[in-house]
Amino acid sequence: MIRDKMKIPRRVILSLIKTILILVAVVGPMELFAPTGWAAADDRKPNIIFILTDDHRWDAMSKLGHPVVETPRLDRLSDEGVHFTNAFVTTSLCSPSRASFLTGTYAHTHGVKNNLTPWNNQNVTFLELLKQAGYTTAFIGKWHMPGSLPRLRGLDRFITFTAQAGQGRYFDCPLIVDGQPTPSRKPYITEELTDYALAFMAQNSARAFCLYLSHKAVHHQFLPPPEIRGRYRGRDLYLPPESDAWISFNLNHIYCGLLGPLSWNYRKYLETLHATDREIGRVLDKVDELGLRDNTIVVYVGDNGFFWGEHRLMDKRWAYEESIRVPLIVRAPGLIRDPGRLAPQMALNIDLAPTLLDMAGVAIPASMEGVSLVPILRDSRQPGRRAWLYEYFKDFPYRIPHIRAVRTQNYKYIEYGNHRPPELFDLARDPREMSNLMGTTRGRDLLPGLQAMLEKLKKGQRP
Amino acid sequence: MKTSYQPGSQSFWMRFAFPAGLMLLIWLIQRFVYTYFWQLGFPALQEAVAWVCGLGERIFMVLAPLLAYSLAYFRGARGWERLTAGFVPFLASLLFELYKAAGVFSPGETAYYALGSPFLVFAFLVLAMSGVAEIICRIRNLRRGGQLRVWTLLPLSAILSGLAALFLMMIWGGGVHWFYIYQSGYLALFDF
Repeated sequence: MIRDKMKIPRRVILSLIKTILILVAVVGPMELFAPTGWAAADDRKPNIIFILTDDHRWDAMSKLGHPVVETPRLDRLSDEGVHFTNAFVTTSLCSPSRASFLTGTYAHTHGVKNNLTPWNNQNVTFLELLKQAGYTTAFIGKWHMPGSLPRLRGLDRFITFTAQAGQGRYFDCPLIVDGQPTPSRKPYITEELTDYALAFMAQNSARAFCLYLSHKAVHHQFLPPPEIRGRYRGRDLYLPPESDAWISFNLNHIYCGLLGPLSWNYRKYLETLHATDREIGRVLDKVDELGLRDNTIVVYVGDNGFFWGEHRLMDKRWAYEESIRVPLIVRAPGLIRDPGRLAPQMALNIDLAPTLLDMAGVAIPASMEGVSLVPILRDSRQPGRRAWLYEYFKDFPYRIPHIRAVRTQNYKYIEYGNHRPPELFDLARDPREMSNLMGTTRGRDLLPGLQAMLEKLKKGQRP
Repeated sequence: MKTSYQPGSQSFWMRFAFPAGLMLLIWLIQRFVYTYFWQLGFPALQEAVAWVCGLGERIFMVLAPLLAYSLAYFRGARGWERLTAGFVPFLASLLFELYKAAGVFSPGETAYYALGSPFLVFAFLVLAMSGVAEIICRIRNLRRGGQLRVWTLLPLSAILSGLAALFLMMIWGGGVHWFYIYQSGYLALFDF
């Protein structure tokens, strides 16, 4: 009797199921097709601060366990955002990688294949698209692409430098401020660029802005400011066992400007990075001071990695991990529900433009070859991409052949454009890429699949 | 009593091939040891080997004329013979690097590659050191009773050209200015 009274009528159960089904049918697609940008929830679009550094390799951060360098501000950014621990550049060289960030396309598409081929003014940048969407935009810092300065569309401020063929100088670097040659106000370039960035943020805090802040640091000559110089003197650097003090004196490395012993250069690099971290902290503090934190996306990324003796190499360019892997952190308070997450999904430099457009609620052009990282930022369970294409084009006088490679979560297959034999690595078992599997039984098993993937990627198809 | 310089006093083999061969042998040993020693797995010795054979190879390349001249001069080597003997480590290194470059660049680019500052600086430094070695040998020859002028235009020009090259290609803007001049030449000459 009591059991009968407690029994839920079948009619109620059916109507409950019906209601749930209606809710799933109606609300689900709404969620699915809702704009990913914050514009949907707020009339005001999110501000975007994109910070790019030069030659900062992925693991040179205290949060990731680097034994020497201190990067408390980057660590803070990582704790407050999503840190992509498998972020890569599709070409590990300054100019092509920078053009990829701006356009969301591969080097073979945007045309800046090396440090010699000029920028094509027909290229469309995410800054241009954001401007069309109502953003106030600024490009501050290193342009460093061959040829004369570009005619970038959609920029309200363009502050850069042309000294030393666009590499700039660490001290007293003359700037080009909106087309006008302007002497440096502060002696140290990273501080000077940050000052311009802070001023831009303060002037435009009442409207949606996009700041592209591109530092010279931490490129060679690795010069920290005087107060940081010598900070890591005497510290054990834990350099790779295959390296030695005079790797940098190899004639092919001399072009990289690394004339002194390896450890001397590396210490200066780490000190310069520490100085850069300090300036990034000033940007983050300014965001807080202006009360913009909840409506400002901050992206930090490096343009390529750097070898410090691994594989007995210096510089970048090659397809090994130290060269292609970069730090990538995205802080987006309105979007990321689990700040501090380390995301293992593979992210690329070509993904940044579509990601920023997506977050701003701007349509992503079909011509962009990267994909938006917003789904991964929102949901840690998103799988991410399966494989991607790495490409490197001859860059005289650096004696490195044309390279094309496919990288998956666990494997990498590299082809060279000269007599150098191809390489295949099991990244899970051999993360330092010391054992080439080509010619082994395991290599023979893996090769056809990876070769097929590479061929598809070369044709622009998804693997 | 030691004799003064007498051109062609010893055979070609003794006055040229021996000093040149010795220079080549020392360079080869340094290059070979530096290239392969790290694979043997003696990390405690690896740094020492890098200093002796890595940095040492570059230093030897520049200082080779001092040794080559002292061996060749008093065996009667002629000017071009002792100059060439001193240049052997540099030339061997250059050929080795060009061989590797030829695998990446076209023949024209490879030839232009040889004009890069790392090679030119070393070439001029070896030339300067040849000038120094020549003067040292002349002073020694003078002390042995030889009749000659020590300070002449040729060795002094060699020394000055070495210093000028060092300044232009390495010291001026940390080598960056010269590098971009070199790059401009490449852009003008080649379809990249």
